Amino acid sequence: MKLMIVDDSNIIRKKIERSTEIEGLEVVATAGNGVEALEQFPKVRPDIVTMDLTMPEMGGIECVEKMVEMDPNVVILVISALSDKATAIEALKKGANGFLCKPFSEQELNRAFRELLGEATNG
Amino acid sequence: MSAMKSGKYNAIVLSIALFIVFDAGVLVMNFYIADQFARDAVQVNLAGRQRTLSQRLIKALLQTDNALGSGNFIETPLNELKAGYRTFDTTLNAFNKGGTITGVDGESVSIEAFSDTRSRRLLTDTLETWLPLQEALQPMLAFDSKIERSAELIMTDEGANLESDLFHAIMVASKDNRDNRLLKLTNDLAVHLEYESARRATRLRIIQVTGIGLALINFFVILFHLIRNLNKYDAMIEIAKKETDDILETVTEGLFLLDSEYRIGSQHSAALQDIFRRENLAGVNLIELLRGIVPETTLNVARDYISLYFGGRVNENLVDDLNPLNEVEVHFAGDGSQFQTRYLGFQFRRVLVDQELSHLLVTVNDITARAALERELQVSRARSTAQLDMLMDILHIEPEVLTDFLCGSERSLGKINSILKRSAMGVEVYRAKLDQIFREIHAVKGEASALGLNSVVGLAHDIEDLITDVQERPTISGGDFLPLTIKLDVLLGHIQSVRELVARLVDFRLVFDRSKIAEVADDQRAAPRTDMSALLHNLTERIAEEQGKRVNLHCVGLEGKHVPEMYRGPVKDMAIQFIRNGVTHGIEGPEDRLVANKGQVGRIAMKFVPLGDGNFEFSYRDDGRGLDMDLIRNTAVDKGFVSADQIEAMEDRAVMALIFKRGFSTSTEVSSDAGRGVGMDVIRNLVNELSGRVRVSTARGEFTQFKVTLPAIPRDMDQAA
Amino acid sequence: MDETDLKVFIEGATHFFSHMGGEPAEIGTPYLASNCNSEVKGFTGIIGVTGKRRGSVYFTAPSVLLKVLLITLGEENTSHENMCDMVGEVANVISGNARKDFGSDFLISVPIVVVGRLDKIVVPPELRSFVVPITWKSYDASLVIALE
Repeated sequence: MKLMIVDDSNIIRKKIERSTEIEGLEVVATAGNGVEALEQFPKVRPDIVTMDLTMPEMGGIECVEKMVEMDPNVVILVISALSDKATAIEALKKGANGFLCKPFSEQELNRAFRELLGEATNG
Repeated sequence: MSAMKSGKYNAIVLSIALFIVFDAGVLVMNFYIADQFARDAVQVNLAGRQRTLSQRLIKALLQTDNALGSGNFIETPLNELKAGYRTFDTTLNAFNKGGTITGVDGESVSIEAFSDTRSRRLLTDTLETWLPLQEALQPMLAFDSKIERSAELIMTDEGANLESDLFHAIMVASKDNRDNRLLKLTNDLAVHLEYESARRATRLRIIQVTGIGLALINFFVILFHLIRNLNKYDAMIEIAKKETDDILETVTEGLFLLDSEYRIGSQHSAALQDIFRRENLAGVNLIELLRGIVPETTLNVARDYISLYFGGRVNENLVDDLNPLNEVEVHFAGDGSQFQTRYLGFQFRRVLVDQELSHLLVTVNDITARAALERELQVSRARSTAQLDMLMDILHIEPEVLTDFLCGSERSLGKINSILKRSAMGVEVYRAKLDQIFREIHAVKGEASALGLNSVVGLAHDIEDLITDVQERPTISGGDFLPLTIKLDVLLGHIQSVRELVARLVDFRLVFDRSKIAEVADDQRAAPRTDMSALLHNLTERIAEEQGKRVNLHCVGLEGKHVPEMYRGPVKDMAIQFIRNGVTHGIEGPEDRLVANKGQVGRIAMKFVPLGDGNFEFSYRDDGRGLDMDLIRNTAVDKGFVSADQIEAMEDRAVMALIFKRGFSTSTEVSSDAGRGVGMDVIRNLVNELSGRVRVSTARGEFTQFKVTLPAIPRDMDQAA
Repeated sequence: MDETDLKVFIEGATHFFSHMGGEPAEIGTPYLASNCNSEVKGFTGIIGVTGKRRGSVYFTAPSVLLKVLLITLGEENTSHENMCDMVGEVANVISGNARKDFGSDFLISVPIVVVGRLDKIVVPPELRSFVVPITWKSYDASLVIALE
């Protein structure tokens, strides 16, 4: 399983990378904004993407929409602060599969991955 | 449930299979019977024909002979004889051995050899009887002549032979009554066959009726079985429905199914009606239901959120955090124009039927109590934090002094409110109002500052800022006072909460003190600083510390009850302003003082003494740098109080009076202690209000002194106070 | 209490007079009142407010102001009913203005009209209301804003 991390914060990217402890889930790419993410997306073809919403260049919502267009089977986990529920819901409407609230713990992140992978393998 | 279902279906399937088997049996029987009837009919008909033929043959034989004898044509009877013979013979052979022959209707039919004993015996008898006749008839069958007329034929050998053959055949036929026997035998066969056919038909009918009867019985069994099962199933459904109904009636949560059009399903819990305060919720659109009781923005987010569940991509376990209806404030129209506020919590779960999403199961709870508790907790937590900060401020202040301050400032704020409430209009009136309010709030600030109540000082300072801001505008309207009124409200609220805190502290102290009652008795003598002078000492120390100066305050007549009740407030206010001005402007820093050959510690002395004539004198004196007349002159010109020309002409006494003007300050920075140029203004106003006088004397580098003379208090006023 | 929130209600009232009353109303200096009934001037139109803040907003006016207002608007009949209608109408404009400006943050109720004391209206005793004096054609009315 290939994981791609999209977040403009270096710290958060590192944190996600460090915290991921799902067997067989491997970080194949990281991106700091939507444009970068979409450049890499077709090359690495990730199974799971973690997506920040407020980023420079291109925000998360647009990025989610384009990724789902390119690969309808991609699983996207929105990771964002709760301050703007409406934006997060918009991203989910565009095709993201789950939401994780910042700040998050390691357990919460891995639980979210398991939920998404379980769903992906079950059907 | 499924096992029961298939068991029930097994019985029905078996019953129906039996029904089909019975019906099929009856049907097959019908075909068989119909076929048997057809064959029997053919046989009966053929047997009948044999009977007829047996007579016809004899008759044709006699006619041929008669025709030959009488000279008529023999062709017709002879042909009839031949035809009769052939038909009779082949049919008889077929009866005996089976074969295909021409039927009664001219069609060829195939028949089987007869097998039952009676038929066979009759056949054997018939064949025995027939055989001699058959032989005797052979010559006639072979006879064929060109001669048509009998009269001529008889003359020939052919004719003679024929005549003898005919005679012989007739003899054979009539011998031993053979012709009659043949008739009887064929008749017997026909009758026997008819009888057999009828018998068989009866038997078959019995079988048929039995089959139909069995099918009918089976049908009724099925019907009975079905009805019984249906009843049982209905009863089961009834029980299940009753159970569901009971659950929906009793459950305290609002439960319902929601379709993709946001419509509420036909079944919902009774509690839902209580929660939404309306009936007939089935089929109602949830969004429309919430419209008007939930703010529109929340509603739009909610609609999007619910649509996520129907979207299919989203993992429902990972979106709970986003639920905008998780804890939503709703407002039901109550009595009159008031709203009733409740908090509702919605939860959504997908309902899958055969892996397909059919509905959302929605759970609604009235969580008002919980939400209210949380809110209360939040408020009290915020209040606790604020009160803790305040506690730090007030812990070092004597409760009596503090209470005094609180009452005083509430009075002042009340006075400000009544200034605001005065209904005159116009720019000048407004400016006057602002001035009056400023003086009041400044006094409050001064006292708060003296007590070190920083929060109150800050708020009062904000109000001063607002006033200064409005004063600078070219025109003023009533609406410009709005921020001021709002701040006033905040300050009042703040003072109220300090009061609450003090009340709690006092309670606490009472409990605390009772356990140390002996020590308190001692302390009461040793602790006289619970009055105005304590406050002034605190103020002096605090300001001096802030300014990096050292000051020693000496008070006379300001302790205890030396100051008449009526003057206590104003004297305190004046003392505060004197100290603030004195420490800030008068007393020099320690180094400057050393240079000036004075002690490092500055001295301020204040005295309140009754004069012999009943009047009072309140004096202030510091050993600071004295009033700087040049600075006052320059400031007065800079601030536009007087023109440069005027100032030249003014004597020092007149110049000194300028410091009492509103807005006059020689300080370049505004702090909470000085610089606004209102301190002296407050004193002048207080003195004016009390109909007193104030005098200033100063020596450069040596001292500044203010002497306030206050009039005697009328006897009744003193008593009243 | 938020200044902009208060202004929305005040503007609603001034808006009414400058558009309907022929001449604009003057706003006096706002002050605080702890007892709403002491501000009541005869006829009062009340709107309930909830959402970001909750409480009530009243427009209260003496009958003479309402009579003059009715006549200014071309209504010669200054009956009790018409005065009630009039004060309700002012409250209506205020609540309409508030609905427009607050958008989805607030829910604003339909006004009700009370003649005399406001017995049925419960305001928390510790809550101070803001009283905004309104003078129109030398008649005094008040806008009382009692929000938590």
